[in-house]
Amino acid sequence: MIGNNDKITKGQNAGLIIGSVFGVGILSLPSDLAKDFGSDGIMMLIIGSVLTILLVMIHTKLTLKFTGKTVVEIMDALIPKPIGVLFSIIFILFYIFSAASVVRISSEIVKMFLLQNTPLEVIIITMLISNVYIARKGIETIARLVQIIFPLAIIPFFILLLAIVPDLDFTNIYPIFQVGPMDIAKGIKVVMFSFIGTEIILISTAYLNDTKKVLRYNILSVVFLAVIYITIFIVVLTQFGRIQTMDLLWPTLFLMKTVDVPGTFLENVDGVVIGLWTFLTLQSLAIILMQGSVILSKSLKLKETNFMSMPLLPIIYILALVPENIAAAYEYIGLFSNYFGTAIAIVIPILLFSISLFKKKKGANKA
Amino acid sequence: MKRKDKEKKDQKQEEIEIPISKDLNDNIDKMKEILTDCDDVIYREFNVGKRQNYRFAIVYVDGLVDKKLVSEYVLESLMQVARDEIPNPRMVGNNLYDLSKEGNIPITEVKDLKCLKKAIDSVLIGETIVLLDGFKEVLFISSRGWPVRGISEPVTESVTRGPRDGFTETGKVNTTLIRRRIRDPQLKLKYKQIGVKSKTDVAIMYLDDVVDKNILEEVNKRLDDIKVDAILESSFIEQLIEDNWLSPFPQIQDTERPDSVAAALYEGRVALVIDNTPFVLLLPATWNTLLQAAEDYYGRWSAAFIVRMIRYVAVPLSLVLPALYIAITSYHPGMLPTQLALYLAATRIDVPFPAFIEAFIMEGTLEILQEAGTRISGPIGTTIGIVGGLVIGQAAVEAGIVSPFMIIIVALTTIASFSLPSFGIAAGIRLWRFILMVLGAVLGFYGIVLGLMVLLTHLVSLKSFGIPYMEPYSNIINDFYDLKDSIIRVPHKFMKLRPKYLRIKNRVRMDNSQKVNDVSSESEGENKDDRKQ
Repeated sequence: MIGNNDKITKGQNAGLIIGSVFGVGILSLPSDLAKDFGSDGIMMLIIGSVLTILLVMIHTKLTLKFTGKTVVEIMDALIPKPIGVLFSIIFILFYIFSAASVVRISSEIVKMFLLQNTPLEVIIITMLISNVYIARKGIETIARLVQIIFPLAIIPFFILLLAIVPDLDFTNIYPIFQVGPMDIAKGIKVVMFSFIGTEIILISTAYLNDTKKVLRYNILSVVFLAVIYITIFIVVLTQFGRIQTMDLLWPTLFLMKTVDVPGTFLENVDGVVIGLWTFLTLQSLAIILMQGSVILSKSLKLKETNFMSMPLLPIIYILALVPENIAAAYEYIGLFSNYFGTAIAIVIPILLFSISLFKKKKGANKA
Repeated sequence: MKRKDKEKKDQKQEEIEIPISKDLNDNIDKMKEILTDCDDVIYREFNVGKRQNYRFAIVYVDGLVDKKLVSEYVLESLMQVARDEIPNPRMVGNNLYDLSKEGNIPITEVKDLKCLKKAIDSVLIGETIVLLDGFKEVLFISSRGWPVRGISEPVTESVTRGPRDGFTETGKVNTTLIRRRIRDPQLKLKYKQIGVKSKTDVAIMYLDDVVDKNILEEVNKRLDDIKVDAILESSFIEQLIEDNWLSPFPQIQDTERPDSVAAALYEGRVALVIDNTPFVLLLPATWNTLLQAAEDYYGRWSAAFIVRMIRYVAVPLSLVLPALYIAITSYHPGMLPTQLALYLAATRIDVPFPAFIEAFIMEGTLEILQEAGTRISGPIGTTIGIVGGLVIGQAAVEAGIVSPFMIIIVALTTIASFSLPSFGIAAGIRLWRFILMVLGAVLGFYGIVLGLMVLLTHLVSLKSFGIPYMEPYSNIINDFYDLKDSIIRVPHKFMKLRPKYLRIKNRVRMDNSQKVNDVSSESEGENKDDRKQ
C-alpha cells in the first residue's frame, strides 16, 4: 500500500508559510498600523517584510543544515537537553496560546456577522472539532489543502476589492513620512507580530521532497504576503481615512460592508466575505494545531505525529473562553501568543543558527 | 515468512491436482466424478486410424464452444482424414500424440495439458480437450465460441462527435478494441484470473515505455491480494483495490469507451479489462480525470474550454445550492437584495414548514424519483417522469407545501449533478449535499463553511495508487503544467507533454518539429532532458 509518505513540495511549503501567516492578524493590522504610524504604515510594512525575509533566510538556512529534521531534533543536536525541553515547552505554549486567540477572535467574528443568536461555546467547539479532523490528517494533507483553499478564498476577495476602487480617496494617504527613526524602532514589533507564522519553516522543511531553491520559494512567499498586506492597508486607509481606521476593530472586514458591487445578485457581500475568510482562519488554525501536534509528539519521541493535537484541545477551549470580551481577548491571549511567537520565531532560531555556525567551525578545526 | 507460506500452499495445490492416467476410461471416469450433475458437459468417444485401433475422446461444454469448429476441424480431421492416410506403423507407434497435435488438427491454438484439474478448468472456460488412450497428456484446443452481444454505442457516455463503439461483455473483444487504437509493441497485456470460483479473466493493459513502474507493481500486488469467490462486475475489483474504500468518492475511473481507455493508456495510466462487463477500469484516477469527458478533446478547443468551466461551476452548484437556500432563508436573509428577499418571503408565506424541512422533502422526493427512473425504463419510466416532475412539482407548489423557489433550486441542483461525466463523483456529491443541508440548517453559512472545509480535507487526503486525488490543484505552484487540461482545456498544440501528475519520465507527447509558437521555456527544457533518456 502506498500510504501517506508525508512529503511536500517546495510550492506546497511556500503555501504553508502563506497560510500560516495569513490568519486573524490581517483583520486588525490596518487599525494597529494606522494608530501608530498613519500612512507610514506602508513603510513600516516594507521594513517589516524585509526583516521577515532575513528571518526566513535564517530559518531556512538553519533547517537545511539538518536534512529531514524538525526544530525539536535540531535542538537535541545543538543544545543541552534541559534547555531544549524548555524551548519545546515554549513552542507548545505558543501554539496553545495562538490557537486560543485565533479560535476566540474568529468565533467572535462569526458570531457578530453570521450567527448572532448562537452561543459562543457552540461556535468554538464546532470549530475545534472540525479542525482536529483536519490537523489529524497531517502536514501532507494540510499542505495540499492550503493550495486549494487559499486561491479560492483570496481571489474573490480581491475581485470585491476592485469594486471599491472607484470610491477610494487617495488623498487620505497624506501626510506621509511623519514618523521618526525612534518611532520606527519602537513600532517595529507591531509589524513583526503580523508576520508571525513564518516559523513553520522550522518544521515543514523537514518534510520537503526536494530542497533545491527552497530559499527562493520561501522568500517569494513572504514577498507575496507583504504585497497582500500593503494592498489591504492602502485600500483600508484610503477608504476610511486614518482617524476612522484607528477606531475600527476589524477594518478589513468593515471594508467589505461598504462594498456595493453593481448589478450583482447579492446585496451585502460581507456574509460571503466572512464565509471565505472563515476558510482562511480555519486553515491557519489547522496549521497551528498540526505544528503543535508535531512538536509535542517529537518531544515525547512518538512515531505517529498526527494525533497529538487532541490533548491540546481542552486547554485551548478553556483558554479561548477566559477573556470576557474581544478587547480582553486581544489584550491577554493575543499578547501572550505574540511574545511567545517572538521567542520562537526570532530568539530561538537565531540562537540555534549561531550555535550551529560555531559548532561547524569547531568540527572543521577538529578535522 | 509470507513467501514461504505461499510456496507451501503452491506445493499443496499441486498435490491436490489429479494426475492423468494412461487409461482413457479411467480419465473419463475421474472427470465425470468431478463434474457430477453437470449435464451440459459432453463426452464424445471415438476411434481413429485405418484399423480403428486408437481410442480418443473429446470433452467440452455444450453452448460454450464453437460446435462447427469442433466437428469440422477436430472430429472430421481425426476420424476421416486420418483414416485415409496410409499409416506407417513405425511413424505412428509412440508418436501418436505428437502426430495428432502437429499433423492432424488444423486449429490455430493447440496446447498440452499435464494435469486433469487444468483440463477441467479449460473445459469450463469453453475450450475443448482431447484425451488419448495410452498417453499421460491431454490436448487443449482453443474453441471458445459463445453468443456475443455486438458492439454498440455506449449508453452512459455518448458523444456528438467521436467514435461510437463501446465495450461489450466479452473481455477479448474489449482488448481488441483497445489494441486497434494502439498499434505499438509497447502496449502490454497481462492476464490474471481473479475469483476462486468465478476465475474471471482480468487483463492489465499499459504502455510499457510510458507507465510508472511503481504504479504497475502496486496494481499487480493489490490484484494478487484479492481473495474472493467471484468477480461479477468491474466494480467488485474497484472496491477491493481502491485506496480508501470508506470514501464516498471513486478513486478509480470506469468507462465504456475504448477511445477513453486508449487516451488514458497514452497518458501513462493502467487499464484493467475485466471479462463479463462492458466497464473498463482506469487507474490512477484523480478528481481532474474524473471530470474529463471524451468529447472535450474532439470538439474545438474554444467550446471545450467553456464546457470545462461550466462543469466546474456545476460541482459547487450541485453541492451547496440547497444548503445555501436553507442558510440564507433561515439565518442571513439580509444578504439578498431587498426586493428579492421580500419576494422570497412572500412566496414562502403560505409554506407551513421551515426551509430545512421544505428542502429535505423536495430533495428526498427527487432522490426517490431518480431511483425509480433508473430502475424502470421504457413507457413506465416516462410515466414516472410525468407523475414526478409535473404532478408532484406543480401540485406541491399549488398546494402551498413548498415554495416555487425551492422547486427551481431542486431542479437546478439535479441538472447540475447530471452534467458531471462521472456518476461516481455525482453520487459522492449527492451524499455530501445532504450533510451540508443539515449543517446549513444548524449553523448557517458558518456550518456550510465547516462542512466544505472537512469535505475538502477529505478530498485532498485521498490518494489513488499513490497519486494525490486533487492533483494538480493541490500542488498548483509546482504542477502548473497540468492546469492546461483541468479547469480549462487548451488547444492540443499547447499540450506537448504528457500530464505531470502521474510522475512519468517519458513525457514527450508531441515532437518539437510540430511547430508551436508559444511554449514555456521550462517545458522545452524538460523535452530535451527526455530526449537524452
